[in-house]
Amino acid sequence: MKLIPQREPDVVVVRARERTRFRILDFDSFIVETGHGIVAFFHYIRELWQRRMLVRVLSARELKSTYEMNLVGFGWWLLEPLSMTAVYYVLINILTHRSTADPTRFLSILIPLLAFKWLSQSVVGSMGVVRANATLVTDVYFPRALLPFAQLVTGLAHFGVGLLTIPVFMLLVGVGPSWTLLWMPAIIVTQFLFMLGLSYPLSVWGLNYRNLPNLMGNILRLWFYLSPGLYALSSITNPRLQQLMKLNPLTGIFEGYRGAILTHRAPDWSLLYTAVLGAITVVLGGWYFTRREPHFGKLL
Amino acid sequence: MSTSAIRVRNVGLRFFIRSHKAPPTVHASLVRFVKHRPPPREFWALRGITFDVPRGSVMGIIGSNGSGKSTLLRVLARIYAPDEGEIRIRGKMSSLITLGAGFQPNLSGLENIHYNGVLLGLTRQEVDRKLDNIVNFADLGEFIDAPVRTYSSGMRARLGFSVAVHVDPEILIVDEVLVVGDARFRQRCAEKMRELITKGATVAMVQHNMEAIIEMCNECMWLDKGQMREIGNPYDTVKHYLEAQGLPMIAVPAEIAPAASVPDRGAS
Repeated sequence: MKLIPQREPDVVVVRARERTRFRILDFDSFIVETGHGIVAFFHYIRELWQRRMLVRVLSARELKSTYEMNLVGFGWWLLEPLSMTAVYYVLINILTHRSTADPTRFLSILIPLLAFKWLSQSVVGSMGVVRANATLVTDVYFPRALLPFAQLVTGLAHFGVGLLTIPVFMLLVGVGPSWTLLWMPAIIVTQFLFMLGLSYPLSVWGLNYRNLPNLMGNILRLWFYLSPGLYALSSITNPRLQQLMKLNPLTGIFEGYRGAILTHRAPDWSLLYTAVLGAITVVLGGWYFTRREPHFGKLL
Repeated sequence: MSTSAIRVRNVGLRFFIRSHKAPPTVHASLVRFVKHRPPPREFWALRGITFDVPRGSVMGIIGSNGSGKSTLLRVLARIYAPDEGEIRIRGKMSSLITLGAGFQPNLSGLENIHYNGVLLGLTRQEVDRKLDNIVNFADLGEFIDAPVRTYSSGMRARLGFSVAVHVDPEILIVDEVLVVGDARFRQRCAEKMRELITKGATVAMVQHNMEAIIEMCNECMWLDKGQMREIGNPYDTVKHYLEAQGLPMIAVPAEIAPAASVPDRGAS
C-alpha cells in the first residue's frame, strides 16, 4: 500500500466527511481530505513547508506593529520578569532569615522567570490567536497551523532579547561563562517544541470556549510554583519528591537553563524527557488542529 | 480526466444557529452537556451545488442578498470546508473576497504589499520582483510610504486589488469588490480582469452588475436560498432572474447580446 498516492501537482480536493451523529463537544467532524487521515496529514505538512515564509512575515508583522522594532519597546516585555525577580528575591531572603544574601540567587530566579514569561504569554496567547487573526481566517486560505507557530516565534524574539540581560547580571553577581552555555539552543528548541504541542489543542479550544484564557492563566501560575523556578531542584531534600518533580516537563527546561548559565552543568535526562514529550504532543496536537481547522471560519 | 479548473459536486454547507446569545464558554457547554440540551438548529447555507468551470472560462454568480453567493465563493477559496459533497480545484488560485485582507494599519503601504503578497501565496522574491508593477498599478503616489491607517477605504481597496491581481492566478475567485474606488480605477480594474481572462485565467465571480455578467461571463448561475435555481447562458439567466424580481431586462449593447446568446463561447 502506498501511503501518499501519486497526484498531479496543484490539484486540491476538499471532500466532506460522512458524519453519523451529533456529538456535543465535537461540532466539527469534517476534514480537508486529499486521501485518508494520515495521507491528508502528510499533505498538510507539505503545504506548511511550502508556505513557511508566512511564519516570518506573520511574526515580523506582530513585532513591527507593536514595537516598531526598537529595543526600548522590548524593554516593556522585560519589566515584569525583572520586577518579579526583585520581589521574589527580597521575599525569599526575608522568609529564610538570611543574614547574608546570596546574589547568585537573583540570577537563579530570573532565568526561570524569563523562560516562564515566554511560556505563559505564548500559551495564553495561543488561545486567542485564531480570533486575533479573524479577518485573515475568514478571507484568505493558508494553513492555519502557521498561526500558533508564528506566535511562538514572536515570543522567542522577546525571549531572545530578554536573554541579552543575562550576561549583564552574570557580570554583576560574578558568574563566569562556561562551555555549558552551548547547551542553550538545545534547551530553547526543547521549550519551543513543548510549547508548540500545548498551543495547538489550546488554540482550538480557545476558539470554542472564550473564557479559557482566564482559567489557563491561573493553572499556569500554579504550575510555575510547582516547578523548580523559585528554588533549585537540589534544594528538595526528599529523594522521592525529587524524582516525582522530574516528571514535570518544566523541570527539565528550568533546570537546564539554570545549569547551562549558573551552575555550569550539562542538562540531564529530564530535558530529553521534555523534548520527547514535546515531540509527541506536537504530532498529536497538530493532528487534532488540522482536523478542526476547516471549521474555524464558521466559529468566528 | 476532465479539464475543469473548478469542479463542484453536490456541495452543501451548514451553519448551526446557536440558541443562546452568549459566546460559548466552558461552563455553558458543561451546563448544556449535563442538561442534555438539544443540539443547535442547523441551517443549510448551500445545498446540492453542482457545477463545472472549464479552464479559461468565466462563471458569474447572481442572486439576491443572503442567497449564498459569497458563501459559495468562500467554499471555493477553501475558507469553509463543505459539509457535503466535494470540490476540486486545479491550478494556482487567488481570491479577491475582501480587498487587503489583514492589512496592518500601522505598517506602511509598501510593507503591507510584502505582507499581503506572501499571504496570498507569493514568495518574498516574487513580491520584490513585482513590487514596481504593484506600486504603479495601485497608483497611490507618495502615500505608499504612509501607514495604511491613514488611507481612505478607496485607497486601501486599490492597494489590495493591486496585490491580488499580481499574484498571476490561474483561477481567480472574485466577490463584488470591483465596486470600490473611483471611476478611473474601476475601469482599470475591469481592464485588468479582462487581461487576466484573455491570458486564460479561470474566473468565478459574484456580480450585481448585470451588464458585466452578460459581457464577461461564459456561464451564469442563479443562486436562490442556497440552491441553484438556474445555470446556463448568461443572457437568459439574467433575464429570468430579473423577471423573477419583477424588474425589466436591461438593455444590452448590440455587440454583446449576440455573442452572449451563443452558448459555450470559447469554452467546451
